[in-house]
Amino acid sequence: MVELYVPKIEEYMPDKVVFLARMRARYKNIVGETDLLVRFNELFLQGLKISRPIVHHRVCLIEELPSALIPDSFSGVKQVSLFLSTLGKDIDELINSLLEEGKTHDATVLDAWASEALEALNEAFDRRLRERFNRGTMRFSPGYGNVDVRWNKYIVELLNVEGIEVLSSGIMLPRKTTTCMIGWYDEKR
Amino acid sequence: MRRDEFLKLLEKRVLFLDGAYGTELFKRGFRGKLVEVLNLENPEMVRELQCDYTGAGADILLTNTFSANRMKLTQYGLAEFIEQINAKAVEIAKSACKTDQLVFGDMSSTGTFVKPLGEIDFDEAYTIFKEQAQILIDSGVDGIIIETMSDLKELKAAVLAVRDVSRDIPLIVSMTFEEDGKSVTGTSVEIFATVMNDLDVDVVGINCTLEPKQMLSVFSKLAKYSKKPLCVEPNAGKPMLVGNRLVYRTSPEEFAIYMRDFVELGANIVGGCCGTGPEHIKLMRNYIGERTPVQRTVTKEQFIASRTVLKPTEPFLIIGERINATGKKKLQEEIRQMNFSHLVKLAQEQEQEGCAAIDVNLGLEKVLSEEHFRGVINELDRYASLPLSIDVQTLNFLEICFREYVGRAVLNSATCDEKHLLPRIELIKRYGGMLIVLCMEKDIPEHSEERVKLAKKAVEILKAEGIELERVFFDPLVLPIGAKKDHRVTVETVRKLKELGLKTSIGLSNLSFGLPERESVNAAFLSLCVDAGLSAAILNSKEQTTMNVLRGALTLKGEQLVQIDQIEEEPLVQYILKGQREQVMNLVQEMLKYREPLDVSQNVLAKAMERVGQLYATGKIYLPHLLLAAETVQPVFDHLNSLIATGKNRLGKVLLATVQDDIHDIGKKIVATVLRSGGFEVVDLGKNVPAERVLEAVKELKPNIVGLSAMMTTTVGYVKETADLLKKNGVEVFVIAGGASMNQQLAQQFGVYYARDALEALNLCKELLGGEKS
Repeated sequence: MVELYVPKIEEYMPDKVVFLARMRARYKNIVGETDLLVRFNELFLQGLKISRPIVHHRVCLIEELPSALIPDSFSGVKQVSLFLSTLGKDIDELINSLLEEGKTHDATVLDAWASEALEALNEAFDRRLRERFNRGTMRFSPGYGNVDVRWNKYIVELLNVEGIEVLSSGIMLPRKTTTCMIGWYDEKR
Repeated sequence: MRRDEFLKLLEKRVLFLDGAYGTELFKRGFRGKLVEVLNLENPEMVRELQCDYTGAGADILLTNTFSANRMKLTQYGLAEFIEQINAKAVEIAKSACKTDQLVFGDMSSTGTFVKPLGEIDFDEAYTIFKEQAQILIDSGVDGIIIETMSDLKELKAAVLAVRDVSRDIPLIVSMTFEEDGKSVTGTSVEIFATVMNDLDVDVVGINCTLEPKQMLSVFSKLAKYSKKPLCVEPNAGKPMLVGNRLVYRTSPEEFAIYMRDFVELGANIVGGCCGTGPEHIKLMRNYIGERTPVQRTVTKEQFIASRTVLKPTEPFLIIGERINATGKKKLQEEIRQMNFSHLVKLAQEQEQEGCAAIDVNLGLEKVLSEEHFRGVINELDRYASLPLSIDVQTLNFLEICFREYVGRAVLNSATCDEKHLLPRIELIKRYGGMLIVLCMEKDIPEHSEERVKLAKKAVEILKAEGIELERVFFDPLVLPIGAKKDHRVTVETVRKLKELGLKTSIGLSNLSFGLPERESVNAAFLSLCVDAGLSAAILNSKEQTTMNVLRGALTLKGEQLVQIDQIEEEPLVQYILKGQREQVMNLVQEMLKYREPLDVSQNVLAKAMERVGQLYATGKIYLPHLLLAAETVQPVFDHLNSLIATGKNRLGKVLLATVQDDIHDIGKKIVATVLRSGGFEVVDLGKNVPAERVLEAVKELKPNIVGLSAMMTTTVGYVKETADLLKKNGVEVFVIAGGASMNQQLAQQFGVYYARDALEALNLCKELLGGEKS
């Protein structure tokens, strides 16, 4: 059964250290530049306002999944959480329109923000799952290790998610979308 | 909680303070005049809010006692309940706390400024604060916060009061600033930080007035200048009227994002002021999380300060010597008769000549009383800008001066004799400031080695008392060469003290006492001392040669004096800015010999005041200057008006009132002063004026304009009520509103005009009466 989770706002508010580091900026060095900071903050707020974050989650027994989807590091797990998290299509569209208008700076900041917002969301959801399932592996996404990124299509179908397009390359649209897997060592759900 | 425990906690992690009380209780249905009354009448309502704050993750809960000092309570007829209101507030807050949460007693302004800006004496303010602090501390608070202060002198009274009740209670002090980093009394955030670096407070902060975005740059300055841990509590924006409710526009997420920036800038305690609620605190707490405070880089420079002027002491501190009544019978007599006009003039002259501080020596002290010293300090605070070097011998009078002084002064001076030095160290420990130590005990040693030896002895005493040596100048002593004294001993002493890493200051003119061509001798000697490493001199800045040689000597060392930001204005504007009413009147009388009174009034005096207004609007001068200027020209305008035929002498009539249930009227009085000086007739109905009373007065007095003031978010609705009542009764009058809780958007919603400050009010009044009604 697929569960849907709408996160609380603080669960997808990335810390500024990481959000700015993604743009190769050190927070402590730019914090004194008030005008720049205000601009970042306004984009941060715009990102929050326009994002429609949601998580689709399902737990499967390990034997229910194709072996090519199982990462090497999942040895010994009994069941696997698969989840897809997305910020929705509006943020993609905003970034694209900013680029079209020549507002490269704002688009870059917003893109960095959205990536880290999604990461923050994954972290927050990860923590929630661990409270529920106890011992688990590290979080894993297709495209890393031995799992081909094109398995994203399988996961999207398995979770029965509408509105997410998976290209033949495995890239998902909207772009601010990720799939993740965590293996659980305990049998009890 | 003990101070050392609190300070350790601050080193460990960023703490979270709660949010607003007034606006939040109002949001929850309170409709009374003073939220502190709820402590007795509906404690559960206060408790519920505080439980929401602790539930949101606040580490520090403030008591609901912001306005619960005797002066404020008296205005609401509640003074007799002062003890119950404060004690109950502590009880409620404690009952809302979980483990590890702290309760800080909340204190704020008396609602008026301390003399010379306001109406109450320093000691009166001190007594009021002491009474409230005593109740709060006796009731078991973990600490005290003094917040939303805009008068540095009033804050100083509150700090001393709290410390006299308890030396061991953690103490947070917080002032409120405009976006330009200045309080309404003209004190900059840098001056606030500098003064609080010396005073016995644990945490300094800024709160209220500004939303987070506006507060960032102000806080950056505080972080740069303050050596103490920092606290910050912004507002959640300016209030807007939605339906019948006032709402604040800063959302919890916007608040949280900006609060994270304050933490990165070095904040140790973060919380919210007006318009913030538990939801703001909760999201801020969740977003920021557990964090170790950021290590800040604080400027190492030493500054001296008056209320409005901050001066670096490096590379060289020039202290003007000419306020010295010793041997000047006329000046001494003027001072004895409490006539300080000559003294003020001397201060102003020395500022123009390039001094960074003014030495004040009132001569024969035994013929003077405490009132003389208090009077001098207040008069110089009011009419002159520069920081002072207080050259007073009698310890009691010296303490009066330091108690009354607003800023960071120089104490001139102590000897190395422990009995003389220790009480003066105590003074700068209690009141702040820098110190000049003479390299002598009872007698002046003949050789430099002995003088240096005494300085070393003083260094040990200072260190033992916890005084940083950066706060101290050592005076190697200059003796008259006319008395066959060897000036090279002084130069050699300067050099040796410099080698020890100590700062030095000399009283220059003593050298040439009784000699002809003093200026040349002084200048040559100063040059030698500068080359040996001299850091400061008390000198006669009128001596052009001395000043030029000083610049030259510093240039040779690769240093230069900080450029003095002088305001070059025409004489009339200068006189007005300096409060020299007599000179203004003389100039006007001279003009009246060949010009009409109306012409002088409109085209000379009014134009000069317009220039003063521009200087204020561009941040060149501050509120105290503006008020002083307005008060200076007022009688001159009155005189001119008496010479002009009736009906031509006034631009219009303005009726002012603070709205119902609001008792704040400083701002309104400022507006009245400025409007009068701008040519308007002003009728002030006072404070707490119901709409009906305004209507009656308008019908009776037929003003052209009604000015309404509302300070609190709980009373701002009466502006609308009053404006609506006037409209309903078909009264044709312009209505202008102002005050801390008003803004442009609210004014539009209320159907009235808005003026941000007194100057805007003046310009708007002129515009309205010169043009069409809109």
